Amino acid sequence: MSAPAPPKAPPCEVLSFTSDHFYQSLANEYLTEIEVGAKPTSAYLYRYLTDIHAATIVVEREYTDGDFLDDFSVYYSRCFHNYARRCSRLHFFDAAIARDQILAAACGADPAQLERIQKSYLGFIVARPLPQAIIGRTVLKTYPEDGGRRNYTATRKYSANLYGIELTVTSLAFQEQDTVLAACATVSLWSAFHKTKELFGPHSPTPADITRAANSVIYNSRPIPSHGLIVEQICSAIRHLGLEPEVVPVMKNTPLASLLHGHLKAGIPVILGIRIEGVGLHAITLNGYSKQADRVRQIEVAQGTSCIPMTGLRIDEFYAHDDQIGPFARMAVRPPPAGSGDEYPIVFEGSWQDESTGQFLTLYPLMAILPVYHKIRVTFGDIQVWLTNLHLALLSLPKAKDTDWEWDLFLTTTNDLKAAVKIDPAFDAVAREQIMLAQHPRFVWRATLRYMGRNVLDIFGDATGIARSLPIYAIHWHDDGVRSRLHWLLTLTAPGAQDDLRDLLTPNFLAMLLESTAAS
Amino acid sequence: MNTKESERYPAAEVAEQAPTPRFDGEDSTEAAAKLRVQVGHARQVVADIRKSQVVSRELMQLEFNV
Repeated sequence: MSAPAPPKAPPCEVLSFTSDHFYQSLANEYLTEIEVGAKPTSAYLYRYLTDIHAATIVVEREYTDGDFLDDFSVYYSRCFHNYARRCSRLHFFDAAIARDQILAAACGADPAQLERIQKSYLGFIVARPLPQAIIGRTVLKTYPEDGGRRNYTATRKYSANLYGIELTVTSLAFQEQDTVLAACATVSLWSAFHKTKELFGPHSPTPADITRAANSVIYNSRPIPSHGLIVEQICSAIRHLGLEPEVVPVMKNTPLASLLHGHLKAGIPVILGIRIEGVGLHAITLNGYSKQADRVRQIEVAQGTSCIPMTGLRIDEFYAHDDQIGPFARMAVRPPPAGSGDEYPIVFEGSWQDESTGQFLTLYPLMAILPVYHKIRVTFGDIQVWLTNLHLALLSLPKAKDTDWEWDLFLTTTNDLKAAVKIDPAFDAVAREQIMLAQHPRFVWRATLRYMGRNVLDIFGDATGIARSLPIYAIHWHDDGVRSRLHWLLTLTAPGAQDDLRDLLTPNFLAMLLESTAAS
Repeated sequence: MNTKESERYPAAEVAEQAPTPRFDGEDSTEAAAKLRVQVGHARQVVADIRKSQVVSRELMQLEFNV
């Protein structure tokens, strides 16, 4: 008996990046390239890849994708129709690369070519062999930072192996919902879990796993085919991974831009529940933001409500994985439109358009759902309360103006805190040494106060502690002028002043502030 | 956690310091009066923050299905 012949290798297709080649590569037996090009997600991806200067596509046929394989085994394999179980994977490069060069690098014949290929890698798209939701796991490089304005913080490093060539890209996985095993909320969770795996563990489940976990506690309708998830089901899926779902309703006094920034800066992806004008309720995954040097608005809460000035005032865009638009879709922050009843602090304008008029639709935020580690117990709002009281004390200083101040409140870890302080020139040598040698909680709320553009104060809060019993554990002043002014206020002897200070700050916080502001 | 925000810390941010204040008795009276107003304001703002964090049953039942 002769040995069986080795399996025939699929062809190595190397194409220049054009719309025709792109849509042809995504097409399958159910969808022609024209139909693929007419799909909003495919068209978005073509524009996105053009923007990041894609020049070459390498099509890897007969690719086995773990996520699709799970979907296949749960659903598609049990259909009467004979769906394929293997996908195509499209790899993108920003350099013109020929087939011979790919093969030379793959076979180890040309190390220089290998390095060039690795450096020009932009990521990949898995094309699923389905009639509709063809965009499977998609991992693409982000837009450039643009001088530090764009921050894609909820991303991580991904590896891909193409014919033995090790390729890496920093991104967050995206995919289209198939409305069979995954609805918008499922896909939104799936993307978020790719990042929480890196932050908190333990793993990133497949869409089928998420649908099962979401429906393990409560279900309103049959779980599969899946058409949507209620908030309780989203929370159930998050708990199933050992994380805690923190649901923050968006009210008119919610400093939403600052709250989102405070978590995204720590790399925590945010599931944002939105109402799309005239369409319905949708869930997306926020993964980054654009922060300007100066304020882009004077207020980040609705008219008639009050909030301390925070970093959100400088944020003009968020970036989101919207499974019906594409990865890293821009969401411009806008004031609520007239007639919305001042119920929303801010609204968003993205790529959703009215089909008849072509006008961009307003996206109204309803809630932020944060998948956080169980030890993160003190919330953004809890710390905001303490900062509000301190801020209002600062406003009692002679000539103090609200617009001169800005609070940057964000979550961090003990290791990241130390790494940041090490290179932050605002801290003097004594403070830096003190912070490096000290033990800190695993998760820390850091609040940096800027006065007229300068960092003047840093406050550290224990995110693992108890909100009502002063979670603040360290105060570091960087500016003697502001420090001594506050000390003068805290030691006022005018009748009733000390009672008012205790009332405003609580005796414990007042004592801590007095000690920190006293001249060394 | 990923705190790779690309924002830089300009050295100028710490170079200039606000001048040490010279406050007098009139300033003390004014500050005490402002403080009295802020105490009342703070109570309302803090109560509103706490109220805004309450998650209603209706909110938990919203279905995202677009």
